[in-house]
Amino acid sequence: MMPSTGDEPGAIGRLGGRGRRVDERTDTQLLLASRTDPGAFTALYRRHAEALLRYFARRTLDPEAAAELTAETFAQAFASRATYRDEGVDGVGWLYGVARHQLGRFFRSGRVDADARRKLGMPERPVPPEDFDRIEELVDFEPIREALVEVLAELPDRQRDALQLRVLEGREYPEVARALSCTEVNARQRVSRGLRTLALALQERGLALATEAD
Amino acid sequence: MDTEFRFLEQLEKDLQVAAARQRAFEAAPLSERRRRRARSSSAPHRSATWGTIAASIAILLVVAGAIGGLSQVGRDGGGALSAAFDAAEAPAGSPTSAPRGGRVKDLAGFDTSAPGIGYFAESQSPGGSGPAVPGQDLTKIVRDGAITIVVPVDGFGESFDRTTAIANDAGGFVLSSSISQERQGTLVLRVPAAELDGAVVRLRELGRLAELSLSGRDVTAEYIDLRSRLGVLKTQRDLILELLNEATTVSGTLGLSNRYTTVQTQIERLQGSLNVINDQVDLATLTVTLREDGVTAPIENDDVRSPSLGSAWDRAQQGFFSVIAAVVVGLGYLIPLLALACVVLLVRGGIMRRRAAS
Repeated sequence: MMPSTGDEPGAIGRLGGRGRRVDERTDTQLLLASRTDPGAFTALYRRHAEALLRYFARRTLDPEAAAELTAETFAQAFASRATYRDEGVDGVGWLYGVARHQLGRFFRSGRVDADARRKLGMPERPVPPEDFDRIEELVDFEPIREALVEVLAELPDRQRDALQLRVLEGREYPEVARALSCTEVNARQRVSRGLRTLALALQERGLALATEAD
Repeated sequence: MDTEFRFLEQLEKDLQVAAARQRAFEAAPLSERRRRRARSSSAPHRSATWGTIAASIAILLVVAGAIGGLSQVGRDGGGALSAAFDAAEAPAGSPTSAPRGGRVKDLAGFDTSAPGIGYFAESQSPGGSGPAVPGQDLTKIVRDGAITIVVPVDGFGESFDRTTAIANDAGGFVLSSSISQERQGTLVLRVPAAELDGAVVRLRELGRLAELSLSGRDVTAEYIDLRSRLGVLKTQRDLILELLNEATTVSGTLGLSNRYTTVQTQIERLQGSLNVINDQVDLATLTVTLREDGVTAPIENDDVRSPSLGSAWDRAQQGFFSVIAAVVVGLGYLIPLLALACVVLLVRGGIMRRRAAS
């Protein structure tokens, strides 16, 4: 998915909710302004956070990794916003450049960096259970179901069973937990780890996720 | 933020806190900023950085030590071989160098065809002021040496017999001998000191010279001291004998008799020591090791047979300095390579930055 340039104010995300005034500056202007006014970065965040979360969810398949990558990307962008130059790449393009860098590191190491968050003193927060389902809904497994079945066989039993129930059969987490005789939290963890392993395996095999076309 | 995701809401708050912290930081005076910056490099991060640096240095030193050790092994092996080759190839009378491990390492000018002349003869001269005159009464030099000859395959038995014959021809004898698997053995020869150099020349003809060491120990001072003390004791003994002849009382006779016995014992002991020195001076000791070509030299390890704390400490010191030397040698190899790698990385980083900027 090629993100929108965002140079049209309010192009991404639902802005202005809860009576908040819409910031009409472009992404580039916000990013440049954030050098002297860190608050301007918050406006940029509001505009692109959800889209970036979706971007990561569709590539990692893992809600937990997607949430962490979103947090780390914004932290990294905030920490290095002073290095941004308005020289052909607009603000959102630069932001997605940081995102691609983080994603590449994730696929290489299998884990999400936390350096930028640590540097800014931001805590590493767990994903709330209710967000888990919502982030999963951002992923469309249908186009990769065939590849999924193939790679699924290589996963450890516990992860495979969890993915089978949750992704292929589409059962809810309480039901998955009952079938696996574990708690709901454990079921989410198994699904999350399984999806992460799956994404890495697909990446290693050079199988471009169908969602890349988005 | 108007979103369904609680996680994103929380993240927004965290970013706002970070932004507020940054604003406060920028508003603070310079000194305060420095203090906070120093504090912000948290202890775990610092320790991780230091840990990485320490690990890198340790790896560097280990690699340097390995490289240095390997290079030393290679050099020693080659050095020993080349030295042995040089010694074997050098014609008699020409300057040559002794192989490593020999007690007399510099045999420059050593002319084996002229016994008593050259390095060894010069060493006989007290103070090194000039060549000693062979046969001078009071000059006492104990000579000994060790020679290792690599003989042709299946030639050990013949070489062993010829070695014995060389000892006999020189007017000496085989003090002891030992044979291992009929392919290598050691003989300890006692030959007249004046014939030692001639015997070495003949032994070298048995095969390829692998090792040679000759040494001379000047015992002249010890010999003169013993002789002087012996003279004094003999004078005492003569005096006691005279007094004993003139003694008239029983107690006086007994006292002088005891004194005579003591002095006589001391005289015999000193005489024994002088005899030993004379024997050592007259007959040189030469340890001859014969080894067939292709047979590995036995490892001499006296420490294994008679371990002691002193030798262990010596070996520990040697090991310590060997490792340090190996690391230093290895660093000599590594530092230019590391400098080159740094240059390459800097150039690569510059290119990457330029690409990223473009």
